[in-house]
Parts: sequence; C-alpha cells; structure tokens
Amino acid sequence: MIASLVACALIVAAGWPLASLLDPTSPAARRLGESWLLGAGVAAGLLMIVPWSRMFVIGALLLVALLGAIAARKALIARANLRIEAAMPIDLITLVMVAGYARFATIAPPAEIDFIGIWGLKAREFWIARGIDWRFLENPFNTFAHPDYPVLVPLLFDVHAVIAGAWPERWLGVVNVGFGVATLLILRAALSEEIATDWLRRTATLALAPLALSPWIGLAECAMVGYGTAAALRLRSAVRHSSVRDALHGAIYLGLAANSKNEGLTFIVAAAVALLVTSPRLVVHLWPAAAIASPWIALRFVHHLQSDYLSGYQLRDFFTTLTTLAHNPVGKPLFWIGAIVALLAGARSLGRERFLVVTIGAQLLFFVAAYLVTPHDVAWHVRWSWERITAQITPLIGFLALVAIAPLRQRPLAAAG
Amino acid sequence: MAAAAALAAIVAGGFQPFYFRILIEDPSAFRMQLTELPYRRLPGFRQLMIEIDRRTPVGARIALAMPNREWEGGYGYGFLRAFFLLPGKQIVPLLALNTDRPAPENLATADYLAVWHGAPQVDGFELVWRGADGALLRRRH
Repeated sequence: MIASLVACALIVAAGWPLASLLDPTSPAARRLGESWLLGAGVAAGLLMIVPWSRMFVIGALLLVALLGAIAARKALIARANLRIEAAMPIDLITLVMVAGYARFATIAPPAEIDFIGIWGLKAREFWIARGIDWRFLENPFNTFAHPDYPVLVPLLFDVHAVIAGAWPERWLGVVNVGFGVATLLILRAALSEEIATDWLRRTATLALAPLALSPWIGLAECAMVGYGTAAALRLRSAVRHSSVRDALHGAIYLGLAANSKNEGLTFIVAAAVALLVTSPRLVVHLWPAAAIASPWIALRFVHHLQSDYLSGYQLRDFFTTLTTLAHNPVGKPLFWIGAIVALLAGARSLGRERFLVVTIGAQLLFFVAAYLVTPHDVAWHVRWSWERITAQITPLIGFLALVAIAPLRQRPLAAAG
Repeated sequence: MAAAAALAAIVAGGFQPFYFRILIEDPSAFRMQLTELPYRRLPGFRQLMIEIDRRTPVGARIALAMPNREWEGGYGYGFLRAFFLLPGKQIVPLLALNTDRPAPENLATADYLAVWHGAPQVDGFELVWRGADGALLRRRH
C-alpha cells in the first residue's frame, strides 16, 4: 500500500507544475484533479522511454516535477489561486462515499474479466517483460486480449508495479481511485463556476460523485471518464471565452483519452464536430490531441495490431440495433428520469451548452455505429458493454442536467457562448 | 417544482449505498469472494494455475487441457484466465480459437501440458507434479 501511495504522490507531483503551467489561474480542486490526469499520462509515457527500474522511474518522475516547477515557477508562486473551500455536511457525505469507493477498489485484486483478459493481463505481461511485450501482442493466440487497445492504463499499472518492485495485486485499484477523485474535483470546480447557490453546488457534487467513480475496477473506463470529462469541460470553457489556451489544454486530455481507450479516438472527432458547430476557428487548436494519439496508432500499424472490427464487420439493421439497445437499459431509471426532466425543464438554457450537447450526441452516435458494424453477436456485445461505455459520458450528462436547472452565476452575455 | 423534483431524482437515483455499507462490513469475507469470483465456474483452477506458475519458467509454452470440449462451454473461460495466472508464459489452446474444433496438433508447439481435473498419460510428456485439481506434464527430451 505504501508503494502505491508513493506512486500516486509522484504522479501528482509530476502533474502539478504542468497543470499550473497550462492554467495558472486554476483553483486548487481543479488543479489537483488535472495534476493526476497529466501526471498519469506522463508516468505511463515515461515507461516507454526509461528502463523499468524503481530508481529510474522515480528519478524520471522527480525530474519531470523539477523541470516542470522551474518552467512553471511564475504560475506556482505569483498567480496561484489555491483557496480551498471549507467542507460542509453535504461534502462530508460525498467524502464518505469516496472513502467507501476507495475501500471497494482496493479490497481485493480487481475481479473484472476485462482486467483479467485485457488491461491487467497486458500490464502483467509487460511487467514480466520489463517493457511493452510486442511478441505477446503480435501472437495470434492472444487476439482475445485486444492487442490494438491503447496501453496508457496497463502502463500506469506497471508504474505502480515498478515502484513497488512487485506485482501490486489488490493495490492496482488506486488507479481507479485516482481517476475517480480527479474527475470529481474537476466537476466540482466546474459546478462552482456555474451554480450560484452554495448548498446546491455541494448537492450537485454529491449527485455526480457516483458517476465520476467508475465501478469497473481495473478497467480503462476510469481513465476514459477522467480524460473525457476534463477535455469536454475545458473545451466548453474554450468556446465560452474564445480561449485558445483552453482549447489546447482540452486537446491534451482528448489525446490522453485516445491513449486510454479506442472510444477516445471517436471522442476527438465528436469534440471536433462540436467545435465546428460552435466555434470553428478553435478546431485547428485540437492538434495536441492528434499529436498525442498518433504514436500508438503508428505503432499499431507497424506491429499489425488489428481491431476486431477489421476482422469481419457486418452492417446491421439500424432499428434492430436500437431495439437491442432499448432492451438493455443503462444505469438506474430514477437517475435518468431526473436527468431527462432536468434537461426538459432547463431546455431554454441549453442553448449556451451547444458544445456539450453536440459532443455527447456525436459520441452516442459513434457508440451506436459501433454496434451497427460489430463483428460479434450484437445482443452479446450490447449486453456486456453498453452500460459501461455510456458511463463514460454520464458525468457530462449529469453535469448538463444540473446546470440546466440550477440558478446560475451572473456573467456577461458576451461570454455566454 | 420540476427542477426540485429532478434534482431529488438525480441525487437519489445515482446514490450508491454500497459505498457506505462497505465501510462497516468485515472485509475478509468480501475479499475472499472477490478474489475467487473470476474463476468461480472452474473450482480449483486458480490454485492449480498458481502451482503450475511456480513450476514453469518464464517463456514456457504451456498447452491447456480441460475436460470441457466446447469453447463457450468452459474451455475459452479457462484459456483466457490461464494467461493472467501464468504471466510471461504462452498458453497453447487445444481447441481452435473460438471454435469447438479440437486442435491436438498445437500440442507439438508446447513444452508443458497443464491439465485441469486429470493427469493423463501423453506420449512424449512426463508427469512433473500432481495436485488435487490437476497436473503438470513436461515434454521429454
């Protein structure tokens, strides 16, 4: 456990200066959340270039933290906005929920079959090979492990293994906790900017907590939720304030999302479509997403790691697919009833949220399109993935619903996007 | 009014009482249950693979024999899980991937044969270890 906590601290330490550099005015909650997201990306990336020894990995993370601190020294010292809100009783309920989630995530080795067959398996093979095991990925017997899936999350598990000096078994769940808490902190900061009423802001955080804390322990879903949510909220801010800096910042998270799951690639397109609709001149500033996503795509081609979608897709009837989806409802009905009522009640205010609405809608269309051409039995595929992948965008839907009905902070009309 | 009802539904609908319950429950029983959960359809399989992992070197090619003759009827279930329990080793299937067609020819590429629920005599292989849930055979040189 101590090694995992040290690994988490090093990840945040490496990410903090980067988060400060990218947004020197960011409040403490968002900066801490973004520090985890950026630090996790850096730590996983470092394993592709440094030897897999504890000394090298810790040294490299500290070096990144030091160089980042030097580069961001002005942001760290002069313009920091690190006021931390006092916790109220509603926040304590949220905190207890997070503590319960942390206990759940680390109580035993991850038991999800996709951890055992994909994410954890790759991490374990890489750990034994002390690097990305291309022979394992290229072996035709191992196609069940989806060799084409991006490797940020397996490498992040390996960061913990290298720092611990052993396969960490149950403590790999801290990766889920890190992404869950980061997502929640980022959502809380966005809620604080939007909602004027204090108790409502805190209640909204409590409402979003179960959506930010991915229940699929050991899967890359948690990273997709974190990077996807951070990217969408940053780009929303870019649209509202015509901010190139926010667009570049959001694009970094888009790239990291694409390095976490293949849905991250479609999320880049979804966000680009939404920018074309709302603020076309910002689309070009998504280039960091392409830059960060492209190395793994290139490596996939070099090593012939094909998606199972290319091994024999078939086009299905649209309405049959929709019927299959309808027979597999996602999440809790009461939540969706509340979200739909909120979106209807606040429909007039959704005009200023066009970016999020289009991004979520486009990503949902990509999900449906994947089922239209899946090479697997569609009923089986929907049953085992539909709830999980929709959970990637549920925090954004929840956020949208809450800001639609909440009394908003006053802001100049010009900034209302 | 609609907004208040919507907020209440969102909070109540998303609420996860499990995250509160788990803080006061005894973790040991739940830990044991979760640890065995991924292997529950093959009792003893996890422990067998742990024993085989101890007795085989990294890089070993291990064919997996099981009484299950169908991929979806249990063989694929064990094949996929064996990889995770035998890290750094190549598992060789004795069924053609994702089918029920026997592929005994794959055995020629294996250095070891892991057998769940049995200890058969196989030409060219010798028994290395036998336990309650199966056995490990090694290719004779």
